[in-house]
Amino acid sequence: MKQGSTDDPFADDAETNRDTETKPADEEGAARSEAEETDRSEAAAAETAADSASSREATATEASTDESTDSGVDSGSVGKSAGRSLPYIYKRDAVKEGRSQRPVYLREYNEERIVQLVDDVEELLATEVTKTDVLEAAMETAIENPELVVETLKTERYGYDWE
Amino acid sequence: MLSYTVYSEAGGVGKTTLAANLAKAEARAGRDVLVIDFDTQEASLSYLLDVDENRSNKEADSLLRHMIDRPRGPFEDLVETSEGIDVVPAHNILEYASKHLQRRAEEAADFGESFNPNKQLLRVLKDAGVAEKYDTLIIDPPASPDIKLHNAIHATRHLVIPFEPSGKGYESVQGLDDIVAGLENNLDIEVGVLAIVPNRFEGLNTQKEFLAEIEAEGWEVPVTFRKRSSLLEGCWNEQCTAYRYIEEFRDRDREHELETLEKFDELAAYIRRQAEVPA
Repeated sequence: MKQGSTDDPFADDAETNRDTETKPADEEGAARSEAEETDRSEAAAAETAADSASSREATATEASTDESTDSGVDSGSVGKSAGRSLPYIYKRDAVKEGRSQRPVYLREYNEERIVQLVDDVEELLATEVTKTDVLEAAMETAIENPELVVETLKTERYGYDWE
Repeated sequence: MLSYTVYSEAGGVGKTTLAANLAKAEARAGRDVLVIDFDTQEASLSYLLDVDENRSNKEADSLLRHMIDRPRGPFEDLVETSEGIDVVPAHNILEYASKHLQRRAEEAADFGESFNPNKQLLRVLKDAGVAEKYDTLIIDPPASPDIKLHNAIHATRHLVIPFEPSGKGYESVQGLDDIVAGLENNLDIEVGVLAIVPNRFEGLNTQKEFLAEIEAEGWEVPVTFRKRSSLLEGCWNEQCTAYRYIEEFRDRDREHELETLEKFDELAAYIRRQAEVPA
């Protein structure tokens, strides 16, 4: 295997339609048993995935998660193992799944800034992110960083430090 | 005819989406494109381009039947068209490709004929005049090395290798080198790498180091793709290429997604230039 272009298999007629060359017997034998092995495991895999409807669903999920999971797990084996646990955004069927709606009281300047936050997060992650995810993550970030919340509460916008 | 196989030994690096979007980029450049779906997974290129309705139809003709001299009709009838791309869809019988090809080889041997099970795809494509009809041939093989991959590489002689820039991705490029070296010896061919395509690149230092290593070993890395989860997920949901998805299913243009399309175009053009100049 080398970098760049090699010969065009369709250009030459040197290679006859029926391949007439003979390979050393051991090579041929090795290639064959390897191929049979593959076939057997393929057949086994096919049997276990007999229900085509569910396997369609499974492989579709597998494909999309393989594209997108980014948790540092070995994506090759993740795709195959049965009882794997996916991160939330890949497991859910809808953005609101597993979430309760909560009324939140916001002042207008923050409502405007949420739109900006979603854009900024998308830019940083280089992918689309739903507002619902950004909001909950923002809340979660605050929950894990009470000192930051305190800082904000001390500003003039809230005035908890006001004498 | 430009021909290549999009192959990566590591699963889940966007092999099929890359193949489909490169095919679309070729079609957009005004070229006649044929894609062969050799992947036995149901979430394959035929599914992505929505041409897989005959996958489990036992009465249907299939490429494998042509490869074992049991066609049910002309090659042209196998071809479906989607988004301006001609596709030979995958059929479930491909799962047993090895068995059928070996059996055919044994039968041939009994009659004193020669039949190399790894070289049948090229024979079928030559007989069908594919090189005269198309400007580009792209094969999407299964994600594991088997007889279908051998046939694909033997027929195209060129590889485009998507990989994830990580320790594992780096090893998979090395592992691929071994597999291909074995094939080159067995099939008496030389295989050229047209491009190595990092996917899900996040700009981490370790990833940059892997890319530098790959390039230091002489492999060309013309473009890198960042993570585009929502775009690719959208493509699989709507069963279309990224080009069509952005045009038809996105309500607003996202700058970074348009960049991704430009990169597919750029990569396709780069690959065409590579193939014009024999290395």
